[in-house]
Amino acid sequence: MIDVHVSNMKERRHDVHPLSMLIITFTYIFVVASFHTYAFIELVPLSVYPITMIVFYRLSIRHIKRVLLASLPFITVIGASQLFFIHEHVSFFHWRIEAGWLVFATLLVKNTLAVLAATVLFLTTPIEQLAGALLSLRIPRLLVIQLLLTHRYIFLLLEEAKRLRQAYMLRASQHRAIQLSVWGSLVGHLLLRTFERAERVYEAMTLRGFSIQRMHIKIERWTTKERIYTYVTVILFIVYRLVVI
Amino acid sequence: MINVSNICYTYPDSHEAIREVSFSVQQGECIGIIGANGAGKSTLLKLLVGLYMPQSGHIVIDNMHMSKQTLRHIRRIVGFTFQQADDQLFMPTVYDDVAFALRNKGMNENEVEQRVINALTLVGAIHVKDRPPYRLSEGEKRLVTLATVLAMEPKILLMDEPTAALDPRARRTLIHLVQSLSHTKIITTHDLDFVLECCERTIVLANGTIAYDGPTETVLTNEPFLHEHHLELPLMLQGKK
Repeated sequence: MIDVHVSNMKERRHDVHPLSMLIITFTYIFVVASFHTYAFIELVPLSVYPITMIVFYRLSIRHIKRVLLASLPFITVIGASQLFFIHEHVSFFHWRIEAGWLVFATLLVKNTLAVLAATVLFLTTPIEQLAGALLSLRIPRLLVIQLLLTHRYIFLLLEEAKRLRQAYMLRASQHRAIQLSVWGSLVGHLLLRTFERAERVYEAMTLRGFSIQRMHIKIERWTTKERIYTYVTVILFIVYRLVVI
Repeated sequence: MINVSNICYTYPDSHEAIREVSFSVQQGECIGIIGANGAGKSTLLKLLVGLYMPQSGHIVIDNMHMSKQTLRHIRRIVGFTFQQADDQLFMPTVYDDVAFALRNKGMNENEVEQRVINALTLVGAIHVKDRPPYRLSEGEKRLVTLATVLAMEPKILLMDEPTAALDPRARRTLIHLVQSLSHTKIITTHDLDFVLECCERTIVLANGTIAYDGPTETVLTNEPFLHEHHLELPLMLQGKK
């Protein structure tokens, strides 16, 4: 997972300003979420944006697929619960179908589009540049630095988890997955090890003068061309939302 | 340059890591700290840079008594490289990592660039400037960690097991580099050949106390003493027996 993320970072072209990416992504997710619960067909044209970005940046489909799969259980549970609560019928093209199924499908599409947009943002814009964009939006510095450190911690956690898993699998080659009985011990170890490692990283940062007030976060200049691109894209999303009701 | 008197440090789990340790270091000296695993070498280094505060005793560095108030000034003149290079390298590129401390100081980008390039050139790692640190070999990582502290232009260098996990060539490069640096240096290591080549003075730690403090050659040729402290003759001297 980390390797894929890294290779994506290497291949990316820095054509879009992080602030533009941030504003466009949030507007897109807001527009997607704002459609009513039967708007399955209306949502489909919105898939053009994430697909275009994936093609343009040549992002790893395998990685995106993994993120989508990870998000599916949550939305499936929420969507499936609709089948028990909604019993009316609606017309879909020439068919009469149960409304619950349409709501379920709409939720799945909404989730897919939102996760795709967020993944595109994450894969195309380094977190440090996103932090700069958040600061230029006047988000409090403390929150932005918390985001940066949390991002760093997640990677430490993943690295340690990968090592633990490898150590386990090497000594339990007959198992296809980690046995339930050792999960408690593994997770406990994982937390303790990542706490210790995070502490050592923090020590290295403080020794080199890190402090929340003085931490350097680069804010890139937002050019007129980038502003126009952002405004046009945002307006297109909003207009589509207002026209298609 | 450094004056340590009667410091003690006990970990929260009641493990007494350092007991009544005293020594002083003159400017430009290169000191090797050796000892068995768990003797207190890494703890001592962390005390010298203020990552741990001694429960008793005093540490004076460059005429500044170590306390919470002076910590920031002391850390500006003391550079510390960690035992695991990965802990010290956390930015997206080598350049950003070496620039981290300088940007925190509020330096302008031109000056930062100059210092980063100088530091990376000095350690011979300028060719990896734009690469992500986690992609480097262990030897390259070690050189970059040294560059991250050299860019801060410290007076004192503390290095925790710098040759651990290095191949012979990377180790040799590091030895040449350490020999060429005129800083005051304190190095903890299990690599006794490295100590013999780089350090004129050696401190042997045993159970948190100083068992020996004196010329390197004297202690590293004393086989019974070394065995008593879980050490052995450096490899280059073993053939001469």
